[in-house]
Amino acid sequence: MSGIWRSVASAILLVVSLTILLDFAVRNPTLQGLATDLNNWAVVIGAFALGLGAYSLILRHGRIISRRARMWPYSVILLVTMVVFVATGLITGSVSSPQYDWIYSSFIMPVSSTLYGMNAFFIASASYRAFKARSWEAVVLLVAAVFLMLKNAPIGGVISPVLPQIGTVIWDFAGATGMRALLIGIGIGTLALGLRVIIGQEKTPLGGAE
Amino acid sequence: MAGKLSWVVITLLFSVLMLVALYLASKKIYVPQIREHAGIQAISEAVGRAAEMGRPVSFSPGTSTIYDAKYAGDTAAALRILDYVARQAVKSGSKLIVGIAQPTVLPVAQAIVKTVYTAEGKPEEYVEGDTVRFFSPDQWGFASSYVGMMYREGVAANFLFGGHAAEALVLAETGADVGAMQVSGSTNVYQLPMFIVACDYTLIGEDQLAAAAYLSPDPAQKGVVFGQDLAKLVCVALIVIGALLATMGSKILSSFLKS
Repeated sequence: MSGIWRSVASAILLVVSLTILLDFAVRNPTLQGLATDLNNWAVVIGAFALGLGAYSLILRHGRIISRRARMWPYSVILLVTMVVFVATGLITGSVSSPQYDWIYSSFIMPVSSTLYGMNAFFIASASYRAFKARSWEAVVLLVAAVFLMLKNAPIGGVISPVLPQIGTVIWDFAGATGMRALLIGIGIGTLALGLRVIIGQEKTPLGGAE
Repeated sequence: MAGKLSWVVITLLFSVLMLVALYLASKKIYVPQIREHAGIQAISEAVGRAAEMGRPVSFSPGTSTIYDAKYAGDTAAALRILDYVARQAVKSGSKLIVGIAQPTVLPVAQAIVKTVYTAEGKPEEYVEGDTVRFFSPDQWGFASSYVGMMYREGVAANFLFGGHAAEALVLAETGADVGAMQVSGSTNVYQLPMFIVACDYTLIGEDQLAAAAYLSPDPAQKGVVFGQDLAKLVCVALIVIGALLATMGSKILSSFLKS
């Protein structure tokens, strides 16, 4: 982004950010209307950006197909699926039509659920690595995790009623304290980054490296 | 709405603290010394390792949009880190692959990476549609595309920043499976444990946000990090004073925070 356009983008960013912030702090109908419009614009621009995404996909996979690169049939499947989805939406006139809903429920939902379900296996493999007692920190993690598992699993209370209580103490005191400290830090960090973006010190969100 | 007055006062106070710290640093009146962060140092180490192995570097700036109310800060920080990673990759001669989930992030990421390649004198190495790849705005569509890319390309370094949700563990575990050195960052407290167990280094919470200032070529930007620490000190003071006042039966502070 050239200098002049970056300055224009920075100025727009400053005005828009302050409007949204002021709308949150001050109750004013004009400001509220303006902030609502700006938020709607963001959604509309986001929808336009989807076109850029589609162009990028077509460019990349069209290149793969034309070169008969490795696994090119998958690129064909992707582009055909994309065309079928768009055509179904346009022909039926709604993404809640029975036809569109059928495609979504029959193909997207099962695949998404399968991927989500894989998390269970990934958690097992990640836990195995994390709970190897290689250092004192890992030992603390392992001990805390064992007590928390015994708190949540019914067998913990069967072995001894004290075990779930230890887990509860770890969760309510160590866990909650650490979590709150983390959240305070994240809030302050977000404010600092937002401030740097608003005053034009951080330019990467505008798309230009310094 | 309850809490607005206190929100305005605290936001203004913290903003002033950060701006003063930034001003002092920019005028070289007080430039804070910031400790070396192992996670940030590991970024160049991971890119260097990929260059030695002759394998690509992959980067994800998350699945959140650039205007997301909760994770826009993460996306902005991830884009700053992307700028740094791209620079390191070009300098070391590693192939960079950026996987994008959100269409609004795509043009920004493309502009950043393209500018870096041009600035480093290697514009021909930036391939439109290939260096920065749009995968899918759907969470699992993105996850499956990114996982497939990591396996097919055999990445040696993987960077996961920005706002990630349930797909975080799938991406990080796959990275570990392909033998990539991984550096991640998140402010999502539910996904942080996933990154911590599966990645070599993780920028926890505000570390990722501070990395944006840390990696800035302008040393004065580190002043903001000092300002953040001052704000945290104020928070600690408020917690101690609030606990003491509550113990004595006073509700002045809690009433103010609810006002």
